[in-house]
Amino acid sequence: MDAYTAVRAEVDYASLARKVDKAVEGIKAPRLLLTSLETCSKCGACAEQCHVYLGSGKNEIYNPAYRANLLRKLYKRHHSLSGRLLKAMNLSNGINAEYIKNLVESSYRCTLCRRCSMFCTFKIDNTLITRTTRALVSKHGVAPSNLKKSVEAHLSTGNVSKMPKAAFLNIIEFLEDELKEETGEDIKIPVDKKGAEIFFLAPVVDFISHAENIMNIAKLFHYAGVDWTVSSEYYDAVNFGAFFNDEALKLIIKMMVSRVKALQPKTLVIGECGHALRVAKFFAQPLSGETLPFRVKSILEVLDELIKQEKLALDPNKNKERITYHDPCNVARMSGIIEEPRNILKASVKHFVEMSPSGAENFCCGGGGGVVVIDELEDFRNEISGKVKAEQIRETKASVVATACANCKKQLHEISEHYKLGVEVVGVSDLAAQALIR
Amino acid sequence: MEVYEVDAVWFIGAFLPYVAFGVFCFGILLRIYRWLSSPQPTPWPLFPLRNKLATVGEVLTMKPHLKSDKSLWTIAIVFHSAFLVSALLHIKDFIAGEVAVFEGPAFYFGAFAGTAAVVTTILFWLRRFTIPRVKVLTMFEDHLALALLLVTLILGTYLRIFHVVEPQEVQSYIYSLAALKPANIPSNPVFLAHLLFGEIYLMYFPFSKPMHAFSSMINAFITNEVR
Repeated sequence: MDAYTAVRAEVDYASLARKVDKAVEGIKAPRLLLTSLETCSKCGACAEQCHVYLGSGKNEIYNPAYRANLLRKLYKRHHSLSGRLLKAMNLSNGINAEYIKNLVESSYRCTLCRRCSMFCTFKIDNTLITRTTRALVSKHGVAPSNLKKSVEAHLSTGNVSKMPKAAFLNIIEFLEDELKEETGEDIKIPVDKKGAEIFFLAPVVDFISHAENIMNIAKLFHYAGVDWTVSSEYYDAVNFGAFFNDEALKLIIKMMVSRVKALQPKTLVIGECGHALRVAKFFAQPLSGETLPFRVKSILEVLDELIKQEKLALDPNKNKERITYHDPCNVARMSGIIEEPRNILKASVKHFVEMSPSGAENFCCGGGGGVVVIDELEDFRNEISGKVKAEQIRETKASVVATACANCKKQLHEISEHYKLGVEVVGVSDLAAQALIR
Repeated sequence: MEVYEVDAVWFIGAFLPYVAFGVFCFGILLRIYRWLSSPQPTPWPLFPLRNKLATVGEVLTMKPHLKSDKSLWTIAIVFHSAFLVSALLHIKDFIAGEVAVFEGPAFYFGAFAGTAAVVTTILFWLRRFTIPRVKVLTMFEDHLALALLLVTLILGTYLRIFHVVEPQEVQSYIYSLAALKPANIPSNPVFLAHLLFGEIYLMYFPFSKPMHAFSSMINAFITNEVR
């Protein structure tokens, strides 16, 4: 494999190999996974679209189809005509410990961005194959430690940071005091209001490390006269189960849906978090098993609407820097929110410059798919998976990078330091709030 | 009724066509049924979404590959176009036999299409040896797919260019197959070899990656659906 290691815990890979082999034999694959495993033509076109492959200097171990082939070979051993014949004749060997270790590690060199699939006529989904690999081994407790700990924390306390309710309420009170000090106005962050128009849900890390983002959204909602609330029973939008663990994904979705439903809002608005938006928009209803009694929107959609309705007066001259926008993969390519952040930025900043490519074809920041949470892969994120994004940013000559995803923000901070880009990383809402004319 | 001894000509011309056709049709239907009866638990869209016509058009013109790999796209478009022309000429021969006014152009179309299909298949295969990101992915099944295709195409192109069998002979034979009374099997060895490899390819098709002909459309619609 390579010099990095995502799973540092002691693992009995020989035993894991037998278990995974058996699991693949009995796999009940969803439709897109079946077709992706069975009909990839192995043309190699996807590699040239992958930021990890390109950032590595075209090291073939990072070729998306090569990674997918590791599971594909195992799958075909059990499910193809030739594989079954060879097995029946005892000519097919199972996988060994070395193979499964490579399979596990390689699955954490993909940031699940789906750019490869975008540029494939057959829409072969290497991401889905990679995520399936992660899910298969995580059933046997094998996953990077931070991902496991985060999910355990979320399931036991309702948020990945294990922040208790009292601490959350203290933060809310503190932020309201800060808003009063800053603006001279009583800008509230409503808590536990039933029947509000908007239930706002952000990553819990925004309340802890990016509290200015919460304050900025509170300002925007206040000046636009938005009827909104947060909940003291549920205040973490993330769902790290989406990256590697089907059971956790569903449990966290059910938790979220029940807590949001309890306040009977009309709309659940997800703050600046890419995978949280995608989970809420596309997975929550089918995986919770119920029809959601609320719509789901991104904060970007809401702010765009408020600007169009002239409920927010913004002066772009208040943000004079040269600003570019990084499209988070889960927001743009996978949720279709592409024009809204641009509309907000064009109303909020004087000099907006696009990255190339951008929109749905944008390159991943390099920290997607939970990779940014895996401390053991910091060097990989900086040296390899973030390299293409760093070059994109450098080419824009921007001094500020706006984005709408907490994980992207962390990754962009890191690569800005590593590649000495000297850029400030901010949220889209932050720029809009800075442009407010009160 | 012509009675054939059970020999190679009977096997290739009177027995295997039915087996190959049955395996081809049922194999494809079974595979598609298996795919379509697998659930797609959640939407899995890729944006921007396209309307139905654009979705189909994108697959048929291989638009994503045009963006990602122009040289591969060029080879693939020429190959598939040539294959389509060949297939249409086969249908013409099967149904109508010789169509006097069309035989001149049919020769040139057929010769050109066959040659283009052979050349592009060779280029597909060369890629598997010369381009590192393709070489690393290549398995036995990829060589097998190309080998079977190439042999069938070379034999077919030879038949077309050197006018080895008359269209009327082919039509008569095909009609006899359709009537379940195989007769008038052209005995030319090149024709029989082309027929044999064509039958092998038909039987191989449902179990292999050329099924991307159908999966590409299925996947295109999955990635275009939000529910």
